[in-house]
Amino acid sequence: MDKSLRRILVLSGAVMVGGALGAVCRVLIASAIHGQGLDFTTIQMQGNFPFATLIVNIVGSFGLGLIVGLYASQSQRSENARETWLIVMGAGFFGSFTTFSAFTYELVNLWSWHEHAYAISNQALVVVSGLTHLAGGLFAASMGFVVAMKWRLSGGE
Amino acid sequence: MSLVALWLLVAIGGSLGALLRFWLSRFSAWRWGTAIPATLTVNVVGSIILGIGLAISSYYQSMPCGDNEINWSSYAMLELGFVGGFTTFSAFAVELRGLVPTYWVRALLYMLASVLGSVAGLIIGYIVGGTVMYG
Repeated sequence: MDKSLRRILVLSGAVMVGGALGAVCRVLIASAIHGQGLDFTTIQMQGNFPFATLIVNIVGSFGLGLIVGLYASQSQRSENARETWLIVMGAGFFGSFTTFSAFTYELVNLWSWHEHAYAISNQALVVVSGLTHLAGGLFAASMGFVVAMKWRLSGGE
Repeated sequence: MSLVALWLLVAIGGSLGALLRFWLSRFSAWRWGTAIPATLTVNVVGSIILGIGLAISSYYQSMPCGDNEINWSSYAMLELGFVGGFTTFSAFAVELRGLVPTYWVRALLYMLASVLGSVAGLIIGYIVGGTVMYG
């Protein structure tokens, strides 16, 4: 088989495996927090602050920062193997684990709720959700790079 | 539809969404030297698709003989799997982190475009889907 075609197929397979695992892990967390156990059809967002998406997006931003930081630093492995690993974990797993659409959906949902358990207005909840996502994601991604850099300086892989 | 099958649909949808996003960001990096245009497009388009999907499922739920099986499987595969895996927050955060120290105006614009664009996309998708389904 042609070498570049083979590379395209390997990368596609890598991103699909990572993406499938990332999506399952994201729904597992949402189901554990907002639903009943493994049955994600029981997820109930109405009246709750969407913690699952916040957790997933902050953890995932840290993870991608770490992976990208490590990719920039590793040099002992072969170029193709490094790239495949970056794609499985970065574009695949953490890309699919985090989500922008649920964040958006929950912003609109928070704005339009009529009742919730918190003693602040809907608009304030939207601002809280938006700011914690953006500041938290930015901070987590930076921390990922910092940890990757420390790891590199300490001589770890 | 069993729970196992629904989880499999999440995995299939997630793998397809990640695949499409990955090649779009590769194309963008090759064409413009940065994946930012692809990430922004993916997040806005994903929200439009989610809006359309929500309108379609709300239509089927409102039917007296609404088919819940189809509803739950499309929720699992399209909304949780495909759109969830297609849109991404981590790439957005990492790209933002790259912009902030030197190009903070661009970072601010990117942030506003992503959040406002996807909120507008969700609402527009919902309106378009609703208009098509309910007439």
